[in-house]
Amino acid sequence: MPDAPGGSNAPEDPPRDDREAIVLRSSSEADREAIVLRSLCRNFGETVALRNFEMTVFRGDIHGFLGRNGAGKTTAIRILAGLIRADSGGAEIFGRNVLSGDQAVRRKAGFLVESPSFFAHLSGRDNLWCHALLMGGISRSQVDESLDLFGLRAAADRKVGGYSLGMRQRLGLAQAFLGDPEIIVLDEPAIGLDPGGVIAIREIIQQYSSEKGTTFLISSHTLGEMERLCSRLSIIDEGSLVAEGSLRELGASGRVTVRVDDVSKGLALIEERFAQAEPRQRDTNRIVLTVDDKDVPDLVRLLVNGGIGVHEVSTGPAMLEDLFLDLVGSGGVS
Amino acid sequence: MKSRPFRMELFKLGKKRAAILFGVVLLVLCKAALLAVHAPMSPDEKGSAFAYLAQSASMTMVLWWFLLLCLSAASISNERSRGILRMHLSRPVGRGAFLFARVGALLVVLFVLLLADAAVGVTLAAISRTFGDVADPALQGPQFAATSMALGVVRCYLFTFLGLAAALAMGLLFSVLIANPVTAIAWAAGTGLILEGVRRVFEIPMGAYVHYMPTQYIFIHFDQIKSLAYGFSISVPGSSYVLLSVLVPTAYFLTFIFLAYKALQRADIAE
Repeated sequence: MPDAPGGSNAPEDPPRDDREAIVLRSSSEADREAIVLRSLCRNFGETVALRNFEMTVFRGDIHGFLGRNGAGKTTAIRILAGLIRADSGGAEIFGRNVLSGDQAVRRKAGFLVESPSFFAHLSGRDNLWCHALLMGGISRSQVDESLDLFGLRAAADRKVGGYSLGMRQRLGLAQAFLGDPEIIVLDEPAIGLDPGGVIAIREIIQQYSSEKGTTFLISSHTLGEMERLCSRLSIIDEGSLVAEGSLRELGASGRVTVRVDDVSKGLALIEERFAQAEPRQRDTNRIVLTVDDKDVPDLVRLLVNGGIGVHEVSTGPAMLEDLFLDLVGSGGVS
Repeated sequence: MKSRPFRMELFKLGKKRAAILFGVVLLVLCKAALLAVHAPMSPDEKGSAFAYLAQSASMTMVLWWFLLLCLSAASISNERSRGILRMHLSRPVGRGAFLFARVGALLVVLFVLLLADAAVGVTLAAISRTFGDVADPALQGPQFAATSMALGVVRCYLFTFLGLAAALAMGLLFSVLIANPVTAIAWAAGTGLILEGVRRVFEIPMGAYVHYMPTQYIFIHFDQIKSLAYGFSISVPGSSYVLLSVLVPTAYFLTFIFLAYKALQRADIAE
């Protein structure tokens, strides 16, 4: 049975603290910061949830937030939303510290943290009105607009107890978008939505980003969707930032994928000659590694001379899934 | 000016009109049933229609005490376990403001209950006077003359309010400390039962102002505390008694609310 992708390398990986995160940022972006998390630490007993975690989200961006289960994504978002405390570090929205209990800054943000929950005995409209009252300055018509946006107008007066999972999710999104906040943080926004709903949400997010300049921070495991939607990404693993930048920036670094007929033999040969290239089994017949373009002929020659059939060699920016697996592995799931 | 969380609480209360009405109907039924068993049937037995009313005020207090304790113990923990609290606290609202809005809403409920209780008591006392053998010049139909007795009834309800508010605050503290509503109710109710048990074991007379539910007994004069089984007696002048009757439940109330506030400030709101 082949090793899990990345699994063979995992035990030899240094602790996350010792790795250097890949952060790609241009100097002109410094004054566009919308959300900044600095050296954020949080432990739950013996468990380290965040370890000097850093992240920067720029104004108007749709920023993806990726990581394995338990990597620390939700903890970071909960801290940002003021739901849990940080042991140390800082969190800012538009330059204002959210850890100090400054409520005014949260008026500019809408959150959907984990699965949404509402009063089951109240209607969808009444539940949104509760949120409107908490925010202040939101009119009934704005509540209806939010319901319209997510296709809930017809069900607005039904009790939420009778809503399906997808309808609750849409209501959760409607409350996050209520009042047109400047920043919207969404944790797994596509959960429970049908394919049509996923496409509709994507279009709404893109429309808000392009027309209103809304900044989005979206955490999701749906990598294909994130690839279509996000302009920048942060990848977290074991509580620390692993990489941050645009997909193009993160993937355009000499990545080579080789399709061969004997992966384990090919992997052994490559590790012997190109150890620094971090070769990894991508799937049953592909190996992924990072080498300079000039080394590709040598790589092919090595494999062919070793008696391995080479069916395909591709270079160029990585797909998000490849990039994600490269950076954090699959967490032992094969 | 009403705070934003308090406006939301009032909106939610408005949506619970049916439940509150049901509570009032329950009150009438309970009180009628209890008075049918315990009602003074002559002026000599308990004194007057006023005594009837006073008794009426005290009789349902156990029920309200228990009800409010459970209601407040489930209040925040229920929303926390269901994730609703997480949604609300991600809004621009401080935890303190959220807690005090909830306290305010529960006090409104308490106030409504006591008003209903008083109205039911007055009605039953009037019926008793009209159709029974009880005659009392202090009660003129539905209107009280401004006598010391009538003031005594007001005082009784004031103490009742404070005592029940203290119980309510104790329930809220459990609600904040324990995320699971069933466990929070169990702890709150269990603590109440233990306190009652301690009171009975040590034979603390009903007049003891330190009792966690002071108002059920507070109407009885404080010199009854001389009957303490531990060979000492406490003599408290009337004015001090009144003062303590206000101060002690108020101190309980403020202490529980303060502890709940500190606990909520520190709590991680995450399931």
